[in-house]
Amino acid sequence: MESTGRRLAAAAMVALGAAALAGRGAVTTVAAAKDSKADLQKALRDEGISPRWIYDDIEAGFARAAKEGKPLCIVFR
Amino acid sequence: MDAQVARLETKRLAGLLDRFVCVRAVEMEGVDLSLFHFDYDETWCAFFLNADRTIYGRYGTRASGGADMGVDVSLPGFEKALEGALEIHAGYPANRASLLAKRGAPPPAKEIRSFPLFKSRFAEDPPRGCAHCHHVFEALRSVPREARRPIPDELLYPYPKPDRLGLALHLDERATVKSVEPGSAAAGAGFQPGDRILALEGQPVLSIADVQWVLHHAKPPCEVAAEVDRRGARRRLSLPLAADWRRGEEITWRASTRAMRPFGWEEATADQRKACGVKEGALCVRVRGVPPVGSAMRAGLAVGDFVVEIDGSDAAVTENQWIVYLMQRKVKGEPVSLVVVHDGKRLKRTMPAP
Repeated sequence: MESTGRRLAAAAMVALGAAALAGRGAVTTVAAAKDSKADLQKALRDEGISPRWIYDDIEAGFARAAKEGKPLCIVFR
Repeated sequence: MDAQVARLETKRLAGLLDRFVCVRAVEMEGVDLSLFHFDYDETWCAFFLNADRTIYGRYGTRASGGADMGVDVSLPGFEKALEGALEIHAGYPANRASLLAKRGAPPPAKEIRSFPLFKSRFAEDPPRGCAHCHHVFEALRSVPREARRPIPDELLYPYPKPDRLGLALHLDERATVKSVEPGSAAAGAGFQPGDRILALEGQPVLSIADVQWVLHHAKPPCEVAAEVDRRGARRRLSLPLAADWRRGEEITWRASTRAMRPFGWEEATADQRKACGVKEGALCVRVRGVPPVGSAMRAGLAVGDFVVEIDGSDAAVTENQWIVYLMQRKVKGEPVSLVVVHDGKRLKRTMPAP
């Protein structure tokens, strides 16, 4: 997950098969994401998130939890 | 609920999450699958963990689609699970032994890109598309499928809800019994409305998802040990699981089943059945969609065809039963014989099982 942005440079949700099963035309939604979590967040239209959330970086969460002695809450959405 | 949580919309929620380090994960590429086991068809799941990666609990349940979709999680229920996780954290590490089974056995591969099914798709740089949660189930099922073995029940019907055992839990509470179906396994075990499930198989339980976790990993036929709080008194109950208790669970809502379905399935209307000349109670399914790359297209199926016979049988089946038949009675590539009505004519089609 740590290099998500780079790996998602060509990201586009491949929904052709699913759309065919549903009897609908192809749906592609996610535009090209660039090199950062912010770009990924924008590409996913995942907006309005509180800055309290570490965005898409689980290892950063573990590191902070170890430092602060807090438990983690990791949401997969 | 996702937006409420992401934006910390209530004071109570913000106060609770202030005591956690919060991470929002949006794709599965790179996620450690040996740690993060959950129902990968869910649209929303939360983990509560210690920094040393000990799992305190899970939250997030979805076991239905259609009109029920999205009603399996609630903010009050999530907040109560957060409170429970904080209690466990306060008792850690003295309680560590009770938490060890909250982590599952290692999967065949630690990351989704390491499964042969997705190697070309997600191991490219850059990868082709995003790795979604449901891809993990597809990857896990591909292992027996590619080995030409039936998909086992636990992979075909993962994380069944306790409702399957007659145990309905309150959405807004922490694993608290809402109702018990008369004559069910839960009724036989002695569960009562209002019971709060404190532990299953010795594991503390924070949510419906935690109940599902224990049930999913049980090895039926067996009995699951439960500890409940009933009006302030602790009681021990034993919940029996029959060998086939998962079978029949609805799985068509699961995104991960798309790869198992050769074509879109739609029950024919009465007029369409009449036009196809099928008798009462016999199979008649309209092909709603055909993926552009797949066995159905290669077999010549077209949108608007009506399937009226499968492997020599015209008995009506549901789409659920059709998927299970393909995944447990057919090996990958094994021929499936269909009779379809195309433009009023009955034609034979043969397609390889996906």
